[in-house]
Amino acid sequence: MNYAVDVENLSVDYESHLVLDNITWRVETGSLAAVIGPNGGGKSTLLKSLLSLVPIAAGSVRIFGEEPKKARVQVAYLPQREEVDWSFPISCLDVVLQGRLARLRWWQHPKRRDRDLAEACLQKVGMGVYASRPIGSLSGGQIQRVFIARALAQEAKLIIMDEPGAGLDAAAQHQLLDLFLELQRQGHTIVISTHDLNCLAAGFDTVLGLDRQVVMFGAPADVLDGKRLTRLFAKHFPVIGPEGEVSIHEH
Amino acid sequence: MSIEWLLEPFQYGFMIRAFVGTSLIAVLAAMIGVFIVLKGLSFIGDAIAHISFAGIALALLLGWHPSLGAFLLASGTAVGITVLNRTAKVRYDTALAIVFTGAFAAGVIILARMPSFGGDISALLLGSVLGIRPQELWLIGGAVVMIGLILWLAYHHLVFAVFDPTGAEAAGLPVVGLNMLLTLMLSTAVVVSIQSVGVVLVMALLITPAATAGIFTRRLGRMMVLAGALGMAATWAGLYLAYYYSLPPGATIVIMATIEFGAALGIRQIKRRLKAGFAYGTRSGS
Repeated sequence: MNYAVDVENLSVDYESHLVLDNITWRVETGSLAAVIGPNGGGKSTLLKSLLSLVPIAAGSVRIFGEEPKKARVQVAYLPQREEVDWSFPISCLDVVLQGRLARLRWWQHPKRRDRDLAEACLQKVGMGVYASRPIGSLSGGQIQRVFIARALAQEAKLIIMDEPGAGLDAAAQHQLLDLFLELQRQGHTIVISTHDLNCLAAGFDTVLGLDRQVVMFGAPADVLDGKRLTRLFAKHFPVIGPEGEVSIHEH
Repeated sequence: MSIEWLLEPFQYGFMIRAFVGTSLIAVLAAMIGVFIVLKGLSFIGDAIAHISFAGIALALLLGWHPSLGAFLLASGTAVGITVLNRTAKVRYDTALAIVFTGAFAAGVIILARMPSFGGDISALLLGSVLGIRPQELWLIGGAVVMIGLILWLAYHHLVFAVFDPTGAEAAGLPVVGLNMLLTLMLSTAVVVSIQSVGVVLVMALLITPAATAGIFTRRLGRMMVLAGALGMAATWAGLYLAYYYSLPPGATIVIMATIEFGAALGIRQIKRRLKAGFAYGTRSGS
Protein backbone atom coordinates (compact mmCIF):
# COMPACT_ATOMS: atom_id res chain seq x y z
CA MET A 1 0.00 0.00 0.00
CA ASN A 2 1.13 3.50 -0.88
CA TYR A 3 1.03 5.85 2.11
CA ALA A 4 1.22 9.64 2.03
CA VAL A 5 1.66 9.63 5.80
CA ASP A 6 3.17 6.76 7.74
CA VAL A 7 3.58 7.37 11.47
CA GLU A 8 4.98 4.57 13.61
CA ASN A 9 5.17 4.47 17.42
CA LEU A 10 5.56 8.24 17.48
CA SER A 11 6.11 9.98 20.83
CA VAL A 12 6.64 13.71 21.29
CA ASP A 13 7.38 15.53 24.54
CA TYR A 14 7.08 19.17 25.32
CA GLU A 15 8.97 20.37 28.40
CA SER A 16 9.26 16.79 29.74
CA HIS A 17 5.51 16.31 29.33
CA LEU A 18 4.35 13.57 26.93
CA VAL A 19 2.09 15.23 24.34
CA LEU A 20 1.90 12.30 21.93
CA ASP A 21 2.28 8.75 23.24
CA ASN A 22 3.11 5.90 20.89
CA ILE A 23 1.03 6.96 17.88
CA THR A 24 0.78 4.67 14.88
CA TRP A 25 -1.27 6.09 12.02
CA ARG A 26 -1.33 5.77 8.25
CA VAL A 27 -2.96 7.88 5.58
CA GLU A 28 -3.32 6.36 2.13
CA THR A 29 -2.21 8.47 -0.80
CA GLY A 30 -5.19 10.23 -2.34
CA SER A 31 -7.44 9.97 0.71
CA LEU A 32 -9.02 12.53 3.06
CA ALA A 33 -7.96 12.05 6.68
CA ALA A 34 -9.36 13.94 9.67
CA VAL A 35 -7.91 14.14 13.18
CA ILE A 36 -10.37 14.86 15.99
CA GLY A 37 -10.03 15.06 19.76
CA PRO A 38 -10.23 17.37 22.76
CA ASN A 39 -8.19 20.57 23.01
CA GLY A 40 -4.69 19.78 24.25
CA GLY A 41 -5.07 16.23 22.91
CA GLY A 42 -2.12 16.73 20.55
CA LYS A 43 -3.85 17.36 17.20
CA SER A 44 -1.69 20.33 16.23
CA THR A 45 1.46 18.63 17.49
CA LEU A 46 0.74 15.55 15.37
CA LEU A 47 0.26 17.71 12.26
CA LYS A 48 3.45 19.64 12.99
CA SER A 49 5.40 16.42 13.46
CA LEU A 50 4.47 15.52 9.87
CA LEU A 51 6.33 18.67 8.81
CA SER A 52 9.23 18.06 11.17
CA LEU A 53 8.39 21.30 12.99
CA VAL A 54 8.52 19.62 16.42
CA PRO A 55 11.31 17.36 17.74
CA ILE A 56 10.41 13.68 17.90
CA ALA A 57 11.20 11.78 21.13
CA ALA A 58 10.67 8.27 19.72
CA GLY A 59 9.27 6.51 16.68
CA SER A 60 9.29 7.61 13.05
CA VAL A 61 7.42 9.74 10.54
CA ARG A 62 7.52 9.09 6.79
CA ILE A 63 5.94 11.28 4.14
CA PHE A 64 5.59 9.54 0.77
CA GLY A 65 8.18 7.10 2.14
CA GLU A 66 10.73 9.85 2.83
CA GLU A 67 12.03 11.82 5.81
CA PRO A 68 9.62 14.76 6.41
CA LYS A 69 12.39 17.32 5.76
CA LYS A 70 13.15 15.80 2.35
CA ALA A 71 9.48 15.70 1.39
CA ARG A 72 8.80 19.36 2.24
CA VAL A 73 8.30 20.66 -1.27
CA GLN A 74 5.51 18.09 -1.76
CA VAL A 75 3.75 19.15 1.45
CA ALA A 76 1.84 22.36 2.10
CA TYR A 77 0.78 23.48 5.57
CA LEU A 78 -2.08 25.86 6.26
CA PRO A 79 -1.76 27.44 9.69
CA GLN A 80 -4.48 27.90 12.29
CA ARG A 81 -6.21 31.24 11.95
CA GLU A 82 -4.67 32.74 15.08
CA GLU A 83 -1.14 31.92 13.91
CA VAL A 84 -1.33 34.55 11.17
CA ASP A 85 -1.55 38.34 11.45
CA TRP A 86 -4.54 39.19 9.25
CA SER A 87 -3.82 42.90 9.20
CA PHE A 88 -0.62 42.14 7.28
CA PRO A 89 -0.54 44.27 4.12
CA ILE A 90 -0.52 41.57 1.46
CA SER A 91 -2.80 40.80 -1.49
CA CYS A 92 -4.42 37.41 -2.18
CA LEU A 93 -2.31 36.91 -5.29
CA ASP A 94 0.88 37.56 -3.32
CA VAL A 95 -0.18 34.98 -0.71
CA VAL A 96 -0.73 32.41 -3.48
CA LEU A 97 2.59 33.36 -5.07
CA GLN A 98 4.28 32.34 -1.80
CA GLY A 99 3.56 28.77 -2.81
CA ARG A 100 6.14 29.13 -5.60
CA LEU A 101 8.86 30.20 -3.14
CA ALA A 102 9.18 26.61 -1.87
CA ARG A 103 10.85 25.89 -5.22
CA LEU A 104 13.09 28.97 -5.29
CA ARG A 105 16.24 29.90 -3.32
CA TRP A 106 16.01 32.89 -0.98
CA TRP A 107 17.60 35.28 -3.47
CA GLN A 108 15.47 34.17 -6.45
CA HIS A 109 12.34 36.04 -7.49
CA PRO A 110 9.11 34.52 -8.85
CA LYS A 111 8.95 34.82 -12.65
CA ARG A 112 6.12 35.63 -15.04
CA ARG A 113 5.11 31.96 -15.32
CA ASP A 114 5.01 31.64 -11.50
CA ARG A 115 2.61 34.58 -11.46
CA ASP A 116 0.47 33.02 -14.21
CA LEU A 117 0.35 29.74 -12.29
CA ALA A 118 -0.61 31.55 -9.07
CA GLU A 119 -3.43 33.32 -10.92
CA ALA A 120 -4.63 30.02 -12.36
CA CYS A 121 -4.64 28.44 -8.89
CA LEU A 122 -6.66 31.35 -7.52
CA GLN A 123 -9.16 30.81 -10.37
CA LYS A 124 -9.31 27.11 -9.55
CA VAL A 125 -10.58 27.74 -6.03
CA GLY A 126 -13.06 30.34 -7.30
CA MET A 127 -11.18 33.36 -5.94
CA GLY A 128 -9.85 34.81 -9.21
CA VAL A 129 -11.68 38.12 -8.86
CA TYR A 130 -10.14 38.72 -5.42
CA ALA A 131 -6.51 38.62 -6.67
CA SER A 132 -5.64 42.20 -5.75
CA ARG A 133 -7.72 42.36 -2.53
CA PRO A 134 -5.86 42.50 0.81
CA ILE A 135 -6.06 39.13 2.58
CA GLY A 136 -7.48 40.77 5.72
CA SER A 137 -10.60 41.96 3.88
CA LEU A 138 -11.86 38.42 3.15
CA SER A 139 -14.19 36.13 5.10
CA GLY A 140 -12.92 33.01 6.88
CA GLY A 141 -14.04 30.68 4.10
CA GLN A 142 -12.46 32.86 1.41
CA ILE A 143 -9.17 32.97 3.31
CA GLN A 144 -9.13 29.16 3.46
CA ARG A 145 -9.60 29.07 -0.31
CA VAL A 146 -6.72 31.48 -0.89
CA PHE A 147 -4.45 29.34 1.30
CA ILE A 148 -5.53 26.21 -0.55
CA ALA A 149 -4.64 28.03 -3.79
CA ARG A 150 -1.20 28.65 -2.26
CA ALA A 151 -0.84 24.90 -1.64
CA LEU A 152 -1.85 24.24 -5.27
CA ALA A 153 0.69 26.80 -6.50
CA GLN A 154 3.33 24.92 -4.54
CA GLU A 155 2.24 21.81 -6.49
CA ALA A 156 2.00 20.05 -3.14
CA LYS A 157 0.62 16.51 -3.21
CA LEU A 158 -0.15 16.45 0.51
CA ILE A 159 -2.07 19.36 2.04
CA ILE A 160 -2.13 19.62 5.83
CA MET A 161 -4.57 22.01 7.52
CA ASP A 162 -4.94 22.85 11.18
CA GLU A 163 -8.61 23.54 11.98
CA PRO A 164 -9.69 24.75 8.52
CA GLY A 165 -13.33 24.68 9.64
CA ALA A 166 -12.84 26.96 12.64
CA GLY A 167 -15.01 30.06 12.49
CA LEU A 168 -16.87 28.95 9.35
CA ASP A 169 -20.65 28.73 9.20
CA ALA A 170 -22.35 25.52 8.04
CA ALA A 171 -22.64 26.66 4.40
CA ALA A 172 -18.95 27.63 4.22
CA GLN A 173 -17.96 24.29 5.77
CA HIS A 174 -19.92 22.36 3.16
CA GLN A 175 -18.33 24.42 0.38
CA LEU A 176 -14.93 23.63 1.88
CA LEU A 177 -15.73 19.92 1.94
CA ASP A 178 -16.78 20.11 -1.73
CA LEU A 179 -13.44 21.71 -2.54
CA PHE A 180 -11.62 18.93 -0.64
CA LEU A 181 -13.50 16.28 -2.62
CA GLU A 182 -12.59 18.08 -5.86
CA LEU A 183 -8.90 18.18 -4.82
CA GLN A 184 -9.09 14.49 -3.95
CA ARG A 185 -10.35 13.71 -7.47
CA GLN A 186 -7.28 15.54 -8.77
CA GLY A 187 -5.06 13.19 -6.75
CA HIS A 188 -4.29 15.26 -3.64
CA THR A 189 -4.08 13.81 -0.15
CA ILE A 190 -5.61 16.01 2.54
CA VAL A 191 -5.04 15.82 6.28
CA ILE A 192 -6.93 18.14 8.62
CA SER A 193 -7.60 18.55 12.31
CA THR A 194 -11.13 19.58 13.13
CA HIS A 195 -13.74 20.09 15.81
CA ASP A 196 -16.52 19.75 13.29
CA LEU A 197 -17.78 16.19 13.43
CA ASN A 198 -20.85 16.45 11.17
CA CYS A 199 -19.66 18.01 7.98
CA LEU A 200 -15.90 17.78 7.68
CA ALA A 201 -15.06 14.66 9.69
CA ALA A 202 -18.15 12.81 8.46
CA GLY A 203 -17.26 13.52 4.83
CA PHE A 204 -13.68 12.23 5.11
CA ASP A 205 -12.35 8.75 4.36
CA THR A 206 -10.78 8.14 7.77
CA VAL A 207 -11.04 9.70 11.22
CA LEU A 208 -8.36 9.49 13.88
CA GLY A 209 -9.54 10.16 17.46
CA LEU A 210 -6.60 11.53 19.40
CA ASP A 211 -6.18 12.27 23.10
CA ARG A 212 -2.44 11.97 23.62
CA GLN A 213 -2.88 8.38 22.45
CA VAL A 214 -4.87 6.91 19.58
CA VAL A 215 -8.35 6.46 21.03
CA MET A 216 -9.93 5.30 17.79
CA PHE A 217 -9.31 5.07 14.08
CA GLY A 218 -11.44 4.09 11.12
CA ALA A 219 -14.10 5.18 8.65
CA PRO A 220 -16.37 7.92 10.05
CA ALA A 221 -19.41 5.64 10.02
CA ASP A 222 -17.59 3.19 12.32
CA VAL A 223 -15.92 5.73 14.56
CA LEU A 224 -18.39 8.55 15.11
CA ASP A 225 -20.77 6.90 17.55
CA GLY A 226 -21.84 8.17 20.94
CA LYS A 227 -20.00 5.65 23.13
CA ARG A 228 -16.65 6.10 21.40
CA LEU A 229 -16.98 9.88 21.29
CA THR A 230 -17.74 9.94 25.02
CA ARG A 231 -14.49 8.09 25.61
CA LEU A 232 -12.55 10.46 23.38
CA PHE A 233 -14.01 13.66 24.79
CA ALA A 234 -13.87 12.47 28.39
CA LYS A 235 -14.36 15.90 29.90
CA HIS A 236 -16.94 16.89 27.29
CA PHE A 237 -20.03 15.05 26.21
CA PRO A 238 -21.29 14.54 22.70
CA VAL A 239 -24.96 15.04 21.94
CA ILE A 240 -26.50 13.09 19.07
CA GLY A 241 -29.28 15.04 17.36
CA PRO A 242 -32.46 13.70 15.73
CA GLU A 243 -30.80 13.31 12.34
CA GLY A 244 -27.70 11.70 13.72
CA GLU A 245 -25.65 14.91 13.85
CA VAL A 246 -23.14 15.10 16.66
CA SER A 247 -22.08 18.10 18.70
CA ILE A 248 -19.67 18.41 21.60
CA HIS A 249 -20.64 20.18 24.81
CA GLU A 250 -18.49 20.98 27.81
CA HIS A 251 -19.56 19.84 31.26
CA MET B 1 9.17 81.27 3.35
CA SER B 2 11.64 82.54 0.78
CA ILE B 3 14.23 80.69 -1.28
CA GLU B 4 16.92 82.40 0.80
CA TRP B 5 15.31 81.01 3.95
CA LEU B 6 15.42 77.51 2.47
CA LEU B 7 18.96 77.82 1.10
CA GLU B 8 20.63 79.57 4.00
CA PRO B 9 21.53 76.42 5.98
CA PHE B 10 23.32 75.00 2.94
CA GLN B 11 26.16 77.49 3.12
CA TYR B 12 27.57 75.40 5.96
CA GLY B 13 29.28 72.08 5.22
CA PHE B 14 28.03 70.56 8.45
CA MET B 15 24.40 71.40 7.53
CA ILE B 16 24.81 69.85 4.05
CA ARG B 17 26.21 66.70 5.66
CA ALA B 18 23.35 66.71 8.18
CA PHE B 19 20.73 66.94 5.39
CA VAL B 20 22.39 64.25 3.25
CA GLY B 21 23.11 61.95 6.19
CA THR B 22 19.67 62.11 7.77
CA SER B 23 17.96 61.74 4.37
CA LEU B 24 19.93 58.55 3.76
CA ILE B 25 18.99 57.37 7.25
CA ALA B 26 15.31 58.10 6.50
CA VAL B 27 15.55 55.80 3.45
CA LEU B 28 17.30 53.10 5.48
CA ALA B 29 14.77 53.41 8.31
CA ALA B 30 11.85 53.10 5.90
CA MET B 31 13.17 49.91 4.32
CA ILE B 32 13.80 48.13 7.59
CA GLY B 33 11.17 49.92 9.72
CA VAL B 34 8.26 48.40 7.80
CA PHE B 35 9.47 44.91 8.71
CA ILE B 36 10.06 45.93 12.35
CA VAL B 37 6.50 47.24 12.63
CA LEU B 38 4.95 44.22 10.91
CA LYS B 39 6.93 41.65 12.87
CA GLY B 40 6.65 43.53 16.19
CA LEU B 41 10.41 43.85 16.65
CA SER B 42 10.37 47.29 18.30
CA PHE B 43 11.39 45.95 21.68
CA ILE B 44 14.32 44.00 20.21
CA GLY B 45 15.37 47.10 18.26
CA ASP B 46 15.40 49.14 21.45
CA ALA B 47 17.48 46.48 23.20
CA ILE B 48 19.94 46.49 20.30
CA ALA B 49 20.21 50.29 20.50
CA HIS B 50 21.03 50.22 24.23
CA ILE B 51 23.55 47.44 23.80
CA SER B 52 25.16 49.40 20.93
CA PHE B 53 25.82 52.17 23.43
CA ALA B 54 27.90 49.74 25.52
CA GLY B 55 29.64 48.76 22.28
CA ILE B 56 30.52 52.39 21.55
CA ALA B 57 31.89 52.84 25.08
CA LEU B 58 33.94 49.65 24.77
CA ALA B 59 35.29 50.68 21.35
CA LEU B 60 36.38 54.06 22.71
CA LEU B 61 38.09 52.33 25.63
CA LEU B 62 39.97 50.03 23.25
CA GLY B 63 40.73 52.80 20.77
CA TRP B 64 38.54 51.39 17.96
CA HIS B 65 36.07 53.21 15.75
CA PRO B 66 32.85 53.60 17.81
CA SER B 67 30.63 52.20 15.03
CA LEU B 68 32.73 49.02 14.91
CA GLY B 69 32.20 48.35 18.61
CA ALA B 70 28.51 49.17 18.33
CA PHE B 71 28.09 46.92 15.30
CA LEU B 72 29.92 43.97 16.88
CA LEU B 73 27.89 44.02 20.10
CA ALA B 74 24.63 44.78 18.26
CA SER B 75 25.02 41.98 15.73
CA GLY B 76 26.13 39.60 18.50
CA THR B 77 22.92 40.46 20.34
CA ALA B 78 20.84 40.04 17.18
CA VAL B 79 22.24 36.55 16.55
CA GLY B 80 21.90 35.65 20.24
CA ILE B 81 18.25 36.73 20.33
CA THR B 82 17.36 34.74 17.21
CA VAL B 83 19.04 31.59 18.52
CA LEU B 84 17.56 31.99 22.02
CA ASN B 85 14.09 32.56 20.60
CA ARG B 86 14.48 29.42 18.51
CA THR B 87 15.97 26.98 20.98
CA ALA B 88 14.68 28.04 24.38
CA LYS B 89 11.13 28.88 23.25
CA VAL B 90 10.72 30.84 26.46
CA ARG B 91 9.63 34.37 27.12
CA TYR B 92 12.95 36.10 26.81
CA ASP B 93 11.82 39.73 27.11
CA THR B 94 12.61 39.92 30.83
CA ALA B 95 16.06 38.39 30.34
CA LEU B 96 16.68 40.72 27.41
CA ALA B 97 15.57 43.79 29.40
CA ILE B 98 17.96 42.87 32.23
CA VAL B 99 20.85 42.36 29.80
CA PHE B 100 20.31 45.54 27.79
CA THR B 101 19.78 47.88 30.73
CA GLY B 102 22.82 46.30 32.43
CA ALA B 103 24.93 46.78 29.30
CA PHE B 104 23.72 50.37 29.01
CA ALA B 105 24.67 51.10 32.64
CA ALA B 106 28.10 49.55 32.05
CA GLY B 107 28.52 51.84 29.03
CA VAL B 108 27.71 54.92 31.10
CA ILE B 109 30.25 53.91 33.77
CA ILE B 110 32.98 53.15 31.22
CA LEU B 111 32.54 56.54 29.55
CA ALA B 112 32.32 58.44 32.84
CA ARG B 113 35.54 56.86 34.13
CA MET B 114 37.46 57.32 30.89
CA PRO B 115 39.72 60.37 31.16
CA SER B 116 40.40 60.47 27.40
CA PHE B 117 36.71 60.62 26.45
CA GLY B 118 36.47 64.09 24.96
CA GLY B 119 32.83 64.12 23.91
CA ASP B 120 29.87 64.23 26.21
CA ILE B 121 27.56 61.31 26.86
CA SER B 122 24.49 63.29 25.85
CA ALA B 123 25.78 63.47 22.25
CA LEU B 124 25.67 59.66 22.15
CA LEU B 125 22.32 59.48 23.91
CA LEU B 126 20.57 62.18 21.90
CA GLY B 127 22.62 62.19 18.70
CA SER B 128 24.86 64.70 16.98
CA VAL B 129 23.43 65.31 13.54
CA LEU B 130 25.52 68.42 13.05
CA GLY B 131 28.68 66.46 13.81
CA ILE B 132 28.31 63.97 10.94
CA ARG B 133 31.72 63.66 9.25
CA PRO B 134 32.29 62.92 5.53
CA GLN B 135 33.53 59.36 6.19
CA GLU B 136 30.36 58.69 8.20
CA LEU B 137 28.30 59.66 5.16
CA TRP B 138 30.08 56.89 3.26
CA LEU B 139 29.26 54.46 6.10
CA ILE B 140 25.56 55.43 6.02
CA GLY B 141 25.48 55.31 2.21
CA GLY B 142 27.14 51.89 2.24
CA ALA B 143 24.53 50.60 4.70
CA VAL B 144 21.70 51.92 2.50
CA VAL B 145 23.11 50.17 -0.59
CA MET B 146 23.86 46.91 1.24
CA ILE B 147 20.50 46.64 3.02
CA GLY B 148 18.65 47.76 -0.11
CA LEU B 149 20.36 45.02 -2.11
CA ILE B 150 19.69 42.28 0.46
CA LEU B 151 16.05 43.36 0.84
CA TRP B 152 15.60 43.41 -2.93
CA LEU B 153 17.03 39.90 -3.22
CA ALA B 154 15.30 38.27 -0.25
CA TYR B 155 12.09 40.36 -0.37
CA HIS B 156 9.55 37.64 -1.21
CA HIS B 157 11.06 35.05 1.13
CA LEU B 158 11.31 37.57 3.99
CA VAL B 159 7.68 38.57 3.55
CA PHE B 160 6.58 34.90 3.61
CA ALA B 161 8.64 34.23 6.75
CA VAL B 162 7.23 37.30 8.53
CA PHE B 163 3.62 36.80 7.40
CA ASP B 164 3.31 33.04 8.05
CA PRO B 165 6.45 31.65 9.77
CA THR B 166 5.06 28.13 10.26
CA GLY B 167 3.78 27.84 6.70
CA ALA B 168 7.09 29.16 5.39
CA GLU B 169 9.12 26.71 7.44
CA ALA B 170 6.84 23.85 6.42
CA ALA B 171 7.46 24.78 2.78
CA GLY B 172 11.18 24.44 3.44
CA LEU B 173 12.16 28.12 3.59
CA PRO B 174 15.20 28.88 5.79
CA VAL B 175 13.08 30.77 8.32
CA VAL B 176 15.74 30.89 11.05
CA GLY B 177 18.30 32.25 8.61
CA LEU B 178 15.83 34.81 7.28
CA ASN B 179 14.99 35.97 10.81
CA MET B 180 18.68 36.30 11.55
CA LEU B 181 19.16 38.29 8.36
CA LEU B 182 16.33 40.59 9.43
CA THR B 183 17.72 41.20 12.93
CA LEU B 184 21.22 41.75 11.49
CA MET B 185 19.84 44.36 9.09
CA LEU B 186 17.95 45.88 12.02
CA SER B 187 21.12 46.16 14.09
CA THR B 188 22.99 47.70 11.15
CA ALA B 189 20.22 50.27 10.71
CA VAL B 190 20.24 51.01 14.45
CA VAL B 191 24.02 51.45 14.66
CA VAL B 192 24.06 53.72 11.61
CA SER B 193 21.10 55.82 12.78
CA ILE B 194 22.44 56.33 16.33
CA GLN B 195 24.77 58.94 14.81
CA SER B 196 21.87 61.18 13.92
CA VAL B 197 19.35 60.83 16.74
CA GLY B 198 21.19 58.93 19.45
CA VAL B 199 20.52 55.76 21.41
CA VAL B 200 17.33 56.91 23.11
CA LEU B 201 15.45 58.16 20.05
CA VAL B 202 16.72 55.83 17.34
CA MET B 203 13.73 53.48 17.46
CA ALA B 204 11.36 56.42 16.92
CA LEU B 205 13.09 57.14 13.63
CA LEU B 206 12.84 53.48 12.59
CA ILE B 207 9.27 52.83 13.68
CA THR B 208 7.23 56.04 13.54
CA PRO B 209 7.33 56.76 9.76
CA ALA B 210 6.60 53.07 9.01
CA ALA B 211 3.68 53.02 11.44
CA THR B 212 2.35 56.30 10.00
CA ALA B 213 2.56 54.84 6.47
CA GLY B 214 0.68 51.77 7.71
CA ILE B 215 -2.30 54.00 8.55
CA PHE B 216 -2.66 55.06 4.92
CA THR B 217 -1.88 51.93 2.91
CA ARG B 218 -2.36 48.18 3.10
CA ARG B 219 0.32 47.43 0.50
CA LEU B 220 3.81 46.59 1.58
CA GLY B 221 5.63 48.26 -1.32
CA ARG B 222 3.66 51.48 -1.00
CA MET B 223 4.10 51.39 2.77
CA MET B 224 7.88 51.38 2.30
CA VAL B 225 7.87 54.25 -0.21
CA LEU B 226 5.47 56.31 1.92
CA ALA B 227 7.52 55.65 5.08
CA GLY B 228 10.60 56.90 3.23
CA ALA B 229 8.81 60.08 2.12
CA LEU B 230 7.39 60.71 5.62
CA GLY B 231 10.77 60.07 7.24
CA MET B 232 12.45 62.43 4.77
CA ALA B 233 9.83 65.15 5.39
CA ALA B 234 10.22 64.84 9.18
CA THR B 235 14.00 64.97 8.80
CA TRP B 236 14.01 68.12 6.65
CA ALA B 237 11.37 69.92 8.71
CA GLY B 238 13.26 68.99 11.88
CA LEU B 239 16.58 70.24 10.55
CA TYR B 240 15.15 73.60 9.37
CA LEU B 241 13.41 74.16 12.71
CA ALA B 242 16.55 73.18 14.60
CA TYR B 243 18.63 75.55 12.47
CA TYR B 244 16.37 78.60 12.80
CA TYR B 245 15.21 78.14 16.38
CA SER B 246 18.37 76.58 17.89
CA LEU B 247 16.59 73.36 18.86
CA PRO B 248 18.35 70.01 19.41
CA PRO B 249 18.13 68.54 15.86
CA GLY B 250 17.77 64.82 16.74
CA ALA B 251 14.87 65.44 19.10
CA THR B 252 13.24 67.92 16.69
CA ILE B 253 13.32 65.33 13.87
CA VAL B 254 11.68 62.75 16.15
CA ILE B 255 9.01 65.27 17.22
CA MET B 256 8.24 66.01 13.56
CA ALA B 257 7.79 62.26 12.89
CA THR B 258 5.53 62.01 15.95
CA ILE B 259 3.43 64.96 14.73
CA GLU B 260 3.07 63.24 11.35
CA PHE B 261 1.79 60.15 13.12
CA GLY B 262 -0.71 62.16 15.19
CA ALA B 263 -1.89 64.01 12.10
CA ALA B 264 -2.32 60.70 10.23
CA LEU B 265 -4.48 59.35 13.03
CA GLY B 266 -6.54 62.56 12.94
CA ILE B 267 -7.00 62.38 9.16
CA ARG B 268 -8.14 58.76 9.39
CA GLN B 269 -10.63 59.70 12.10
CA ILE B 270 -12.04 62.58 10.03
CA LYS B 271 -12.30 60.32 6.96
CA ARG B 272 -14.27 57.77 8.98
CA ARG B 273 -16.59 60.45 10.36
CA LEU B 274 -17.19 61.83 6.86
CA LYS B 275 -17.91 58.35 5.52
CA ALA B 276 -20.32 57.60 8.36
CA GLY B 277 -21.96 61.01 7.96
CA PHE B 278 -22.33 60.49 4.23
CA ALA B 279 -23.88 57.05 4.69
CA TYR B 280 -26.27 58.49 7.27
CA GLY B 281 -27.15 61.39 4.99
CA THR B 282 -28.04 59.20 2.03
CA ARG B 283 -30.10 56.92 4.22
CA SER B 284 -32.13 59.76 5.74
CA GLY B 285 -32.54 61.38 2.32
CA SER B 286 -34.03 58.31 0.67
